[in-house]
This record gives sequence, C-alpha cells and structure tokens, in this order.
Amino acid sequence: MLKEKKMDNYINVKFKSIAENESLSRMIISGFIMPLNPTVDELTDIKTSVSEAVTNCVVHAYENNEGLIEMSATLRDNILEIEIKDTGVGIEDINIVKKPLYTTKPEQERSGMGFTIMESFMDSLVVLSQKGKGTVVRMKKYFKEDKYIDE
Amino acid sequence: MEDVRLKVLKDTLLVKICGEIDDRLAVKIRKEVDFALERKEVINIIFDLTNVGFMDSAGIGLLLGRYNIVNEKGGDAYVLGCNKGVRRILDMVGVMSIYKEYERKKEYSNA
Repeated sequence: MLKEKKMDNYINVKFKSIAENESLSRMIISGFIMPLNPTVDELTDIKTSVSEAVTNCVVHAYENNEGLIEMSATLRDNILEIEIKDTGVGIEDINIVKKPLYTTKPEQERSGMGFTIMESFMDSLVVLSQKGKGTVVRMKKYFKEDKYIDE
Repeated sequence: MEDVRLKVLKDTLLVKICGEIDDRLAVKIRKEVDFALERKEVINIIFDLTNVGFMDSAGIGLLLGRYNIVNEKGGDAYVLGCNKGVRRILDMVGVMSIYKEYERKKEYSNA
C-alpha cells in the first residue's frame, strides 16, 4: 500500500454527563481515528479507555448529577492524544484511586479497574485533579506507521 | 440493535446479550437478571456473549456479582461466545477462571 500523507486533526466536544453518552463518546473517538485505519486491537484499546474515562465522569465526578464532560482529541504524526475533562468533585489522592480494584462504590459493583485499563491499553496516562474543581485525564496512543509492512 | 433476552431452562438462567456492555447497559442487565435469579429453582447462569462486540470494566462487576449469587445458591456460572476484546477484559481480574466455558448443547441451541 502506498504511504499516505500523515494526517493532522483535532476535535473538541462537550456533552452531558449521562450514561447514554458513554456509547456516544466511543462512537466519536472511533470515527475520529478511522482514517488511520486502526487494527481491531487498537480500536478496542482506545474505545475501552475512553469508555472508562467517561464513565468515571458520569459515575464519580458528578455522582449522577448533571454536568458537562469535555473530550478533545488530537492526531499528529501518528500520535493520538485524548483529553477527557470534568468539573466535578475531583480526586483527593490519585495514586490510591489508580490502584487496581480500588473503588469507592463497591455496592454498585464497580470493579475498580478503570484506570488500570486506561494505563494498560494506552501508551501513556496522566491524571490531574483538584478536589472540588475537577479532573483531567490525558491519554496517548502511538500508531505504528508501516502496519502493512511488518505484518 | 441492543437486546437482553432471558430464558429459564429448568434450573438454569440463560442470558443472551446483544449490544455493548458498558455502565449503562450493565445496570439494566443486572436488574433483569437479579429478578430472574430470585426464583428458587434457578441456580445456574449462562451468559451468552456471542453478540457482544464491546465490553468495558462494567462487565467485570456484572459477571462477578452474578457469579456470587449463583455460587451462594450452589450453582455454576457459564460464559459463551466471548470475542478477543471481551476475553481480555474478563481475564484482567480472573473472571474467566471462575466462569466455566459453556459448550453449546442441543437443548440450548433449540432455545
């Protein structure tokens, strides 16, 4: 396959913090990365990570009150950077929250695997938060360039 | 496009899910399944995930929770038709080691 010109792109969307928008966020990000011709695994990694981050906003940041979630995605030189931002309750200790199986809502059968999934499915994860102000999650994924050649 | 079908076959609850298992759908499935599991004679559960194209960590809670219920009743939990992505999520916390893989049987394929 001929090498195509690298594509640069950017989107920014805001949506209500309702559970229905978890699937919307997955559809948006899938559509955004489609021109890169991602593998099934890459697509699953990204959709799952976005789903976890957005679910965190719906379930934890706004605790089922209504707020806005802002998602932006940048694509440059085969690097995808996704930012998911809320202005909800914030996280007091990010290191505790990121531990596998840690959840504040076991009664809702939350698995506490959200950040672990984001961390293992993406190439980098940064979480910034301020109590009472909100949280920003930044994730990166590096796309292999010559996909067709090495496979 | 999205569908959750429940069917009781003697002592077993069959849960056939079509759609993407996230937080929203998991809440819905949990309600319906737990209502069906209140029946005394139902002690086993089979999750048919053949038509589940996507699952996030909400699926872990859903499956672990239902395992605990049938386990307490002395029954078994089975899963069937997991795609690669679904299996990867379930493997993260060992869900696949407590669930048994269900071999398609005649009685089920006619269900």
